[in-house]
Amino acid sequence: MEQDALAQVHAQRAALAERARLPWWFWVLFALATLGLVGGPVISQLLPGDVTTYAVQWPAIAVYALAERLVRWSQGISLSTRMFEYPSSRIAGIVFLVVAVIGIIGVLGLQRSGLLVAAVVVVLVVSAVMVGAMVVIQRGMREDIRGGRWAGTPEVPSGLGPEAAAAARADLPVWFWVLFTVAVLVTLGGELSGPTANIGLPFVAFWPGLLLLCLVEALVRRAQGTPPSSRLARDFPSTRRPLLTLGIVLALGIVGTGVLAQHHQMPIAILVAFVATVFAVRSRVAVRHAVRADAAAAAVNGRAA
Amino acid sequence: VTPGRDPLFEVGPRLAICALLQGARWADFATVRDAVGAGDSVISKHTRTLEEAGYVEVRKGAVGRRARTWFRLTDTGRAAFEAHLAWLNSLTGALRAGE
Repeated sequence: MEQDALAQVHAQRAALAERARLPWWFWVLFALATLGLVGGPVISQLLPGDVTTYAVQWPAIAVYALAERLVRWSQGISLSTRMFEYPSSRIAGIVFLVVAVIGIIGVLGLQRSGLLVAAVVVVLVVSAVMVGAMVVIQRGMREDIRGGRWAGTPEVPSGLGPEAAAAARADLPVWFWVLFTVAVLVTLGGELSGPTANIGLPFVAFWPGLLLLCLVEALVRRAQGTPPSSRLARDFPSTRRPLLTLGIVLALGIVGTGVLAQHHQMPIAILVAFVATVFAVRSRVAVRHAVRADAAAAAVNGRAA
Repeated sequence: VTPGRDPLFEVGPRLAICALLQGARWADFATVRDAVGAGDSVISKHTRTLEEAGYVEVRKGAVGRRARTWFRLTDTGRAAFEAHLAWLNSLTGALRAGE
């Protein structure tokens, strides 16, 4: 009887997860709205007449709201609009927001510098990344619905075997910390030495540093046999807050150094880059502590089971 | 979650209704009825009981001239549902260990 009840619960969760799959027309509306929001400055310039950026961006935001409302009506369910309530969607949610903010500012900078072709390329790339992040967010939400995971529920590290838990508790090698610091410096410093300083074009030179950062993270996970970074927030729930802090510090650092470098305030830009690097490394250390604490809890739970 | 049996979930499709509502912020009447596979009157009766217990919040809206009823699991309902689920899991685990 108990097993019947549990099977019933699993069946309902699976049914809801399946119902939460978004229709094709939502993705069309979402992609159009994203193009309008990010590409507002470029589209307004290409349109005949005196069209302002806001005249393109506000209707795009209205299309977002309309698509959400239409999905709600057609599906008969309203999922949380706060994507951070679904644990598996948080990292993709942070990526979505950071890319959106940096993309919008970057496109504006390119358009004002007269680099229209570069602006169009950035619009397409940023829009594709945002749509991709939304796909990952939706997939994570469905996974969480199927697994009964929700921000309100106390979580335990999921899917973490004893070997992975032991690996996660091991110390990170010195080379990781050195490379991580270098990658953050390259990410933030790119804005100082790259196109920003030379041609007044902000938020372009940080991508190589960011790629290096991802590579360093992937290398250390491979070397240690721990779960991939994309599953960090799900497997180790305590890492969410420091990961969010790390994302915010990097985003603010990039924007801050970019804007200051554009206005030729080099000493202050260097100071901001340095301070942001210190805070980013501190946040990464906090993530490390959170992983270790959750891995220890998982090991205790495993023994108790 | 501290396991705790709640007899309220042991009657009719209440467990299934709450399982459905757990993953969504709001779900409408037709969705709940279709997913649970029960009639209108059964869903009305059990959601009213859950509402009276403070486990479910009911909101009535309209699309044009059609009335539409939405349900949401409250924090109290969510906590009670999760405790009951933990109790069911512990019971199943204990039964397996005893076999």
